Amino acid sequence: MSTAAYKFKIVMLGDFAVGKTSLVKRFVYDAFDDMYLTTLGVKVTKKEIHIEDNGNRVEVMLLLWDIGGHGRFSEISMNYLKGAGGAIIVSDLSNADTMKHIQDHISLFHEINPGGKFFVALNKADLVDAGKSGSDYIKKYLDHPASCPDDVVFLTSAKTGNNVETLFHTMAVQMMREKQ
Amino acid sequence: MENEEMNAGTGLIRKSTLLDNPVLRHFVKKHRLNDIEALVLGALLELTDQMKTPIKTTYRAIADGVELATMSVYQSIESLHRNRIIEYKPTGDYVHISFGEIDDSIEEINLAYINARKIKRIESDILYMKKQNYVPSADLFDMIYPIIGKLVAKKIADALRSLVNYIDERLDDVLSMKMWKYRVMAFRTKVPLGEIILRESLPFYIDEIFLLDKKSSLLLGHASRNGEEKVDRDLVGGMLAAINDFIKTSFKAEKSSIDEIQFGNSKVMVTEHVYFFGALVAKGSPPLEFDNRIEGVMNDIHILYRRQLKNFSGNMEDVAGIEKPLERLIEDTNRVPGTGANGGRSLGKVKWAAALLACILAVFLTWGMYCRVMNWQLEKRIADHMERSLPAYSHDLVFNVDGKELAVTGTVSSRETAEALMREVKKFPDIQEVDNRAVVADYRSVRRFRTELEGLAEQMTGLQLALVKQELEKIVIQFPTGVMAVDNAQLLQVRRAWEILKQHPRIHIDIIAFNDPAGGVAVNRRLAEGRMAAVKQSFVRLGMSGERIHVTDFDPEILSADPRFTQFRENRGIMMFAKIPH
Repeated sequence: MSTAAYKFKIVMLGDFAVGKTSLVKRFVYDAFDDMYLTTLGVKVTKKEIHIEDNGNRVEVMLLLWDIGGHGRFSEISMNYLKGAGGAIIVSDLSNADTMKHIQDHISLFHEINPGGKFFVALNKADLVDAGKSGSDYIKKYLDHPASCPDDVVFLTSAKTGNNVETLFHTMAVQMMREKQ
Repeated sequence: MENEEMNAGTGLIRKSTLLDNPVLRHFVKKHRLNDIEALVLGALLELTDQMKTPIKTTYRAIADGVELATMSVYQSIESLHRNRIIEYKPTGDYVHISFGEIDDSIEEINLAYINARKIKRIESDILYMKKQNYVPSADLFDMIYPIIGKLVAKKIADALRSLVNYIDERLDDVLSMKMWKYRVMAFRTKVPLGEIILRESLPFYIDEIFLLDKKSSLLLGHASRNGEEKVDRDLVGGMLAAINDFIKTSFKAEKSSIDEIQFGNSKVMVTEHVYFFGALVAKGSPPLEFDNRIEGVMNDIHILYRRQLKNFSGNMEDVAGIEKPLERLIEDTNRVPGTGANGGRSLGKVKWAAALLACILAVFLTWGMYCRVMNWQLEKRIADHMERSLPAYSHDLVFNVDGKELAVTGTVSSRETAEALMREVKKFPDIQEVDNRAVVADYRSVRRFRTELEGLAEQMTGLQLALVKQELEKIVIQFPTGVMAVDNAQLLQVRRAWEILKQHPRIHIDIIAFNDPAGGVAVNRRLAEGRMAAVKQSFVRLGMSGERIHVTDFDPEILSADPRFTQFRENRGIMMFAKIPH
């Protein structure tokens, strides 16, 4: 069994084909560690990272639940959200519909895990114009942009790896500090 | 030449034995024919069309056919004839050869017929099956059973035999200690004893235990039997939780979680608790009270970690040590009784210790008895010797031997007798130490002293009695008019008397009641008798023996004449008078 000091469950939410699995694969080097049950619609992956906490090096284990699906949440999928310490809501910058659904995913996650930490990964940043920032996109597509502050939004690319490590690392640090 | 012939011949022989001819094989085996004879016989069988047709030929022709020397052929035919396998009759250059009726039952041919019949039956069954599009399972079973039924039955019997042996071995180890436990269990649970024994004896192993947080499905603790896991247990735990959720949600299960998942010989047993659930991966059938054991372990974990698990934050330090009860459960459950396990080992040790102790005790007892017997024999020898050696009527001695030590007690009549005693004792080399406590005493003086002492004792007793009498007569237990019961005032007097009487256990008392004349004799008698009985009862309650208390008859005339009662004429009460019964 792992010797990590902390264990967190993080769920990957988002529409179909936005890059949830790609982000996880990019983040997790050891691909053999993932187990996928297509019938059950969930893939669980594990990654252990070290983070600095007040000068101490702390080992944190992240269990990433990549919930598959077809864009709609089933009752089964919602069960998988329970007990998650955090969520990464992924959208595809090149697909406006997926951007519009970010709010729905945030609401659903908070409904099941009130007080849970979430981050937004605006993925496939390599396909769009580099001139805009994350908050620009949030203001453009979300009805309530205030629900999504700037510090939780990341422009990521699973293809290039841009901001992927930072995203998960930041999430882990935030979750650990919140639990302490 | 001969060798070449042999080599050539054996080459053909090998060829001949490869021929599928059961008759030839039968004769070769039965008559132990050598290779050349077998070759010749094989050739003759061919020539006679398998014994059907007699032939007329020459030795040379046969020899050419089998590539052997003519003489060898001749000798072989002679041998076959002697063994009554063939009939032969030489006529000039020719020889007539025929086979007679064979009386032998050729096993191979019989088997072949039997198999042929079987095959015929199977063939007809298979043909039937081929014609049918659908064969009802019962009919199919009837067709197949003759072929495979025996095989299946044999395999089952072998498996059952192995199981029985296994159970016997297990029971041998634990039977004496646990059988009563099983009986109690059977009585309590109403499950047949045999079933309990079987369940308790069959192997049951826990391979792994997962402890998962109910909310987050994070793995809180894990323990395994052998520690070899190919897949990360955190992931496995997560997937178990996912499966549990899937089942719960998909099938709207009434219970909040699944109980068991079976796969092959293994199963995953899921047990749900308030803040976590446990998943046990196990093999075999669990013992009867295993559910209670699991429940106990889960309860213990809940008690220890309730606060931390209620809102588990992911901090693993909060649940440090949570796997310890799981490891203990695996260790306790997977312990095989009698094979290096504590129960079996300690039982074995107890048996050895008990046996050793019994042996030691037996040795000690035997040694003790032996020594006792030896001592007694020596005592007897010494006593007999002294009887013979010392002057008659000069001693009254007791000898006690304890190993090499002799203790002498009693009396001897004179100092000379005492010295003679010591001299005689030295004649026993077994005695190395003597504790001589024999007293030199003149018997007549002793007798006289004893008599005087007895007289003195009597005088002392008389004196004591007089003193006690005097004291007791001072104690008068008075009663109010018409009252028989002993109250505090009377009890006080009784206690005073008892304090005196308990110092002199030989002294008895007569209790006498006195009354004033009022009321009449009958009334006074009744009152007197009641009071005497009450006083006696009080003495008995204080601890005095009832045999020491003598109740006298109430006689007012004697009382009035007795000067001791003069002063009590107008009173009612009890007086006590001491005596020593003869």
